[in-house]
Order: sequence, then structure tokens, then C-alpha cells
Amino acid sequence: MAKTPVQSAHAHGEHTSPVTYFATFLALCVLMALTVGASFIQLPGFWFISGTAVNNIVAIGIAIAKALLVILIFMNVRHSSNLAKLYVLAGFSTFTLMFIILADYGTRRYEPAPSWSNVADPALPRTIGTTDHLPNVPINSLNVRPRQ
Amino acid sequence: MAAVDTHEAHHGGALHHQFEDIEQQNDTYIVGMWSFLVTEVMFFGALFLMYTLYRWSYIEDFYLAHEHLNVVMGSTNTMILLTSSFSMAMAVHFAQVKNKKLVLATLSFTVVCAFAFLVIKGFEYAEKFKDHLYPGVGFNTNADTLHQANMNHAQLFYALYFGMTGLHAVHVIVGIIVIGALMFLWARNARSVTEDYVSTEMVGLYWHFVDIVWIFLFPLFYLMPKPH
Repeated sequence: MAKTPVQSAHAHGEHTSPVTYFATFLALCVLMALTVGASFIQLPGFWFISGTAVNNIVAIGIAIAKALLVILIFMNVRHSSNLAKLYVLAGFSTFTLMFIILADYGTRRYEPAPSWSNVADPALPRTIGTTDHLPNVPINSLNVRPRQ
Repeated sequence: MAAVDTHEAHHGGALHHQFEDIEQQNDTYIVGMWSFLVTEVMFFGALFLMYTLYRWSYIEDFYLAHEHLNVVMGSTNTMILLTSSFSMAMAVHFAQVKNKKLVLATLSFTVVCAFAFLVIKGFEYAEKFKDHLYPGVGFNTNADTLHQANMNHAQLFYALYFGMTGLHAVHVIVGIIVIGALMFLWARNARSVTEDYVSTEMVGLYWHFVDIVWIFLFPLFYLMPKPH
């Protein structure tokens, strides 16, 4: 039952100071103002990326920056053990991998499925982007019961 | 046993017998909490995926329908949650330096922020309910309220809006309960919280996660760019 001597005195020096917390909070406020401001401006597109996409990339980029500040500093992950860091990394990277399924939705051809109103109609959008080439879908047939 | 006692006294934490040292014990707690948070990421992740798919499919109609949301209320709620996250981080700091009074003060402030968030959300929901914007057979048919968006696609937008912000609101309510329980333990001088700051830190991790979810919900629902 011999206990190992204190091997971890360093851990106690790793607490984040209130000054760092406050600076993080201020940074979050600035990013918050930036994202609201950016949403009122129509950013220009470039190359093959549309202006709308640029706006979306900026909004999500700022959200990711804010989330990183919260994860690394508020949640103190930068001072956590490697095992904890691995859990964080695995969790968020699996989340992004899930979006690969959009490749299926983006490339699958239109497959009509019977809806509640017995009109040939996609129960789910099986296509992304324009629907001009699809048969004209009557209103109120997106798997919604007809109104009385 | 004397060795164990010395060990414990040195760290000032309540070391449980199955752990080698306080480091390992704390690490186990943190990893356990993060494995729960990873399941939460997956839980919300499916909804974010669904949102992405439908917004991509109906980008124009989602933009039109989103114009009915109140950006001022959404921004206020974002500021409230960011502030509550800061006060939660400070609570963990005060738990580390064992300042009971300030732990209770910062946790109370966090709970007040959580309630303020829910009240504002409640006003927003009430507005939507008044306009019959909840999905279902009684869904709004007034083109002006939908800002000329296709009714079915607007209905999808509101289904996602209520589903995602609703699930987030449930997490805020759970957060209030958990922080309340933590405050109760602090007020009672329970050794499990006063001797070991990691209990407070784990509640903090949960609360920060709730904040992160909102950090993404806010631009996705309130700040959609006009398709151009």
C-alpha cells in the first residue's frame, strides 16, 4: 500500500486567473458584436463562393472562435489532462464527420414517395439546390395533413 | 493509513480510496463529465445536421421566415448567457480558493441570468404562438406573417426553431436545477463541494456547454444572411 509521493504539485499552479476569465469574456462580447454587425452587411462573393456563403462562413467562423474560447479557457481544457483533451477532440470531430452524409443528399436523384395526401411527393427533400427540374409539387403536400 | 492521511491533507481534497492520488481522481471526474458532454454533442448534432439540410434545400424560404424572429431579443439572450458563463467560470475560481461567500454570489448570479434568459425566450415564444407559428394543422396561413415564405417550408423552419431552441431551453432549466443543488451543498458546507472544487467545475462544464450550443443557435436562427 505504499503511496507514491506527491507527484503533481504542478497541477495547482494551473488554475486560470480571474483576469484571464474577464479578458475572455470581453473577447466574447467583441466577437458577439462582430457577428451581429456582419449579419447586416452583404459580403461580396469571390471565385466560386457566393456572397451568401461568405456571410455564412463568417457567422459560423465567429461562432467557432467563440466556442473555442469557452472550451479552452472557461472549460479549462487547455490545462486538462491529455485524456480529457482526447475526449473533447473526439466529440467535436465526430460531430463534423456527421456532415459527410450531406454528400448523399446532394447527389441522390429525386425519389418520389407517397405522402399522406396520396400525391406522389417527396416526404423528405432528396435533392439540394434548385427544384425547377422536379414535377410541380402542389402546396400543402409536404407530408402535412390537408387543412379542413 | 497514515500515508493516505498525509497525502490527503497535503492536497486538501477528499481523496477516495480507489484513486492513486487527487490528480487521478480529478481527471476521472473531468473525463467522465466530458464523455457525457460528447453524448450531448451528438444529441444536438443530429438537430444541427437536420437544420443544415433543410436550410440548404430552402434557403430563400428560411431567410424570409427568419425575418419574423426578434434579433434584439436574441442578442440580449446571447449577452445574458455569455455573462452567466463568465460568472460560472468565476464561481469555479472562487471554489478553488475556497471562498464560500463569493461562490454562492457568483452561482446566484448565474441562476438569475438563466431565469432572465428563460423569461425573454418565453416572451419570444408567446409572440410566435399568438401568430400561430407553431407547426401543425393550425399553422399560420397569413403570407405577411410568413414574410411571403412558402408555408410548408416556413413550417419546417419553425419546427426546427422550436425543436432546437426548445431543447436548449430544457438544458437551461436542468442547469438551474443542477446549479441550485450545488448552491444547496455549498450553503450546507458539504465536504463534497467545499473540500474539492471539481464538483463545482463539473457543473461549470455543463453550463458552458449550454452556452456553446446557444453560440451556434444564435447566428443560425437570428442572423441569416439575405441570399445574394
